[in-house]
Formats: sequence, structure tokens, C-alpha cells
Amino acid sequence: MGLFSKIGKALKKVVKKVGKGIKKVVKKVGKVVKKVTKSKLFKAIATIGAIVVTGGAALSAFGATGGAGTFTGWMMSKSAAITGGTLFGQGAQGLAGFGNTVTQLMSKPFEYVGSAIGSGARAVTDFTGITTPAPTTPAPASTTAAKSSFWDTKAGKFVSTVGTQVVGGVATGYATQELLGGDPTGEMAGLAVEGRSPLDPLAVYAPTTTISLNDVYGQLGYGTGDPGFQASAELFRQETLGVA
Amino acid sequence: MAKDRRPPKPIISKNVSDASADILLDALDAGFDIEEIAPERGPKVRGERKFNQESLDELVDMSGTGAAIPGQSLTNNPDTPYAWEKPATFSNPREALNEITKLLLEPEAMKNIVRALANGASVGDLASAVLYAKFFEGEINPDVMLLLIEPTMYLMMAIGEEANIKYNIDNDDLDEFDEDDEDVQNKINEFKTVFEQIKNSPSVKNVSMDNNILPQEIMEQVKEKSPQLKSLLDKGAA
Repeated sequence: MGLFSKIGKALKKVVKKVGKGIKKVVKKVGKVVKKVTKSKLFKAIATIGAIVVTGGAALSAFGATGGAGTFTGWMMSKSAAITGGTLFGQGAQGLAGFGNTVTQLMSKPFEYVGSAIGSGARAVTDFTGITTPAPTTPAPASTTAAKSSFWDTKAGKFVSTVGTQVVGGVATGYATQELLGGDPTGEMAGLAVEGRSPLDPLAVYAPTTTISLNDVYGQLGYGTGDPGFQASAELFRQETLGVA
Repeated sequence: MAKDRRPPKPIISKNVSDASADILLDALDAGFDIEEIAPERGPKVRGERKFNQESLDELVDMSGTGAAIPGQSLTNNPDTPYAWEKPATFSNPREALNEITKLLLEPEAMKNIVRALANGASVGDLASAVLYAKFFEGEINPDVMLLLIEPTMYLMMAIGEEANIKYNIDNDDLDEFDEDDEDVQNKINEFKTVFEQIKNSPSVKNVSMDNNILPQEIMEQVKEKSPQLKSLLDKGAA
């Protein structure tokens, strides 16, 4: 068996497993939450999953606002905690210090990028005729050139025109955010008082013991307490010290 | 006016499904209604698979072109390796995920995904195609590819939900959750029917006894031969 056959088989196996996992989780939640249909729960889980994966960019892209009182705003409020550098609390001194410096500067570029693509992406979902066009200011033109890619291959023919634009840079995103207005998600005033839970050590909330806090940056974790969700990719582009 | 709700609990999980489920339960516990999280937007577009002779012919043609001869890849010049033989552009899954997310949230990409889902393509197949192609292009390594299947699937599912499409997750499972919902609904309906029947049925007190079932003579004999039942007070008096 060749390399590609093996990879293809592994891919198929994992996809099947993930599919089963999704259905299993919906059924599990369905046992806890009565009076709600499973299709509704599935929709909620899919939406939340996308927020978790993208750090809110998905919903921004769909044109949702993360205003106070909304579910998105509520969920993303956890992301705001890192701006103060207090999220990781006393349980992880090194991370707390780190949160005060780098993350304070770079905590939300991905959210901004999400907003930047948002106005355009919303228009795309409107093309189906199901969603109604949102009255938004057009986003500024992308700063980077087209990036043609694998989407043109035969295997991905159905998504052939993907990758024609890459919205670049924090600056563009920030400018778009300013243009579009709306509630600033994930931002907190300097004197805002944190609730008790964000100040607690991270370990208290980790539901499984399989996650090593020492190696948290090397792992692909998911959830509102995950550093990746908190600080997006920029957190992981930090300069590292060489070990002699 | 916005309700004052408690902040979300930090949740970390190794997979998106568990994290999403925990966050959903946390949100419901915090006082959110399911309608606020996943608002209803009317009937969905059914992403049913349709038979297409043209596509089938193309597939047959492709399968007939033959495969590489065993060991063929080893004859390639080492100075000009394939993209997937070089070190991957993204070895950190988080960076790779951000790159893929950015691409998938592009308007054109979303348009294509929505169209594919509406035509019956499953989320799993789409995610596989995207990630496999990324690997083939040398952007991610096989390990990262496998790690990114779940988040990519979730992203595509969210796009499908946003477009109000009823899509397949893996293969042909369009009505997976509807069947369960239907079962629950049937049981509720059944219960309601029985309840109504009981509610509307004449009460036992109003049922009149039919004295003509047994002949009058036999009834008298029964009365005579049966023991006289006395109340406790009557017994005391005797």
C-alpha cells in the first residue's frame, strides 16, 4: 500500500470517527437538556464549535455582533480577560506575566480579520436568498495579492475559487472594525472588575486530567479557557529563547 | 434591556465536540435560551444527494487511468522533491488552522461550500478534500492534517447552519437527528392522545350497571348464599 492510500484511509477513518463523535455529543446533551429537539441542539453545538475554532471570527464573518447581552458577546467576554493579563491567575505565574505583555498587544488580530472578511462573507450567505443582506459599510480592499492554491486541483473542484483573497494584517482589520463600528467584542476597560472565576487557576476548570498545563501551548486544545481561543494565533508566534 | 448573566466558565477540552457541548450547557446554565444561541430561521434547504451521470462517468474515467507503479516515487530526482516531500509550511496546528479558517471564510470559498452542501456533499468529504489538498501542496504535514479534521468540519457545519442548509455530516445522514426528534414527538403525541381519552371518558361513577346480564333467579340465589358482609360497627353491636 502506498503512502497516499494509507493517508487517504487514515483520513477517512478519522472523518468517520469525528462524525460519530458529533452525533454522540448531541445525543449526550439531549439527555441533559430536555424539551429541546436534537436538531436544535445540533445547530447550537455547530455554531459554538465554530466560535471555539475561530475565536469568534466565524460569527463576525457571518455579520453577527458580539454586543453585550448577546450569546456571542457573552462567550467572547472570556477572550477579553486576557487583555488584563489576569486570566491565568496565580496558578500559572509565567503565563500571567506573558499575558500582560505580548497578548495585551496582540490578543485579537484574528477577531479583527474575521470582522474584515465579515461584510463580504455575509453577502455570500445572502446569495442563497435565505439570509437578508445586512446594511454594512463595504470593507476596504484587501491589501495582499491573490493567492491561488489547491482549490484549483481536481480533488477540490467544487471549491475551486477559494483562496483568491487573503485579508492581510492587523491594521486592515482594525481599520475595518473602526469603519464597521458595532460593539467592540473582547475589550475591557482598565478598571473593570473581574468576576471570581477568571481569576482562579486554570487547572480548576480543566475537565480532564489529560491536559498538561506545562505543555498547553504545544497542544491543540479547544474551549473558552484555551489560550488559543484567548489570544489567537499571535500568542504562538512569540519569540523564543534559544537553549544552549 | 440585556440580562445580567454570570460570565462563562473557562473550559478546555481536547476536542471541539466536547468543548462545544460543555459551553452549550454552561450557556444554558447561565440563563441563555436555546433560541438565543441558535435562532430559528424557517425551513432549511435540504442538501440531498442527486444522481449525476456525468460525474459518475468522470469517476469511472479517473479510476481507469491506472495508478503509480510500486516504487515509482523513488525514481524521482531528489533535487526536485514534491511539495509534500519538503518540510511543511505550517507545522504548528494552530497556525495551520488559522490559515485554513481564513481561506474558508473568504466570500468565494463560502459560496462554494454552501453550494456543495446544498448539492448533498457531506461536511466530512469537503473537509477531507480541503485538508488533503493542503497536504498535497506541502502546506501541512499528515499529522496536522488529521488534527485539523474536526475543527475544519465544525467550521463548515457553521457555514451550512448560517446558510440554513440541512446537510450531511458524513455520507448520507441528512435526517439523523430528525428521526430522534420524530420519535420523541410521537411519544409525546401518544401520551397526549391517551391523556385526552382518559380525560374525556365517562367516569366510573356514571357507569350504570346492567342488571339484565344474569337472570333474576340466579341473582337472588347469589344474594341468599353469599355471606352477609357486616361493617365493624354492626359486628360490635352483635
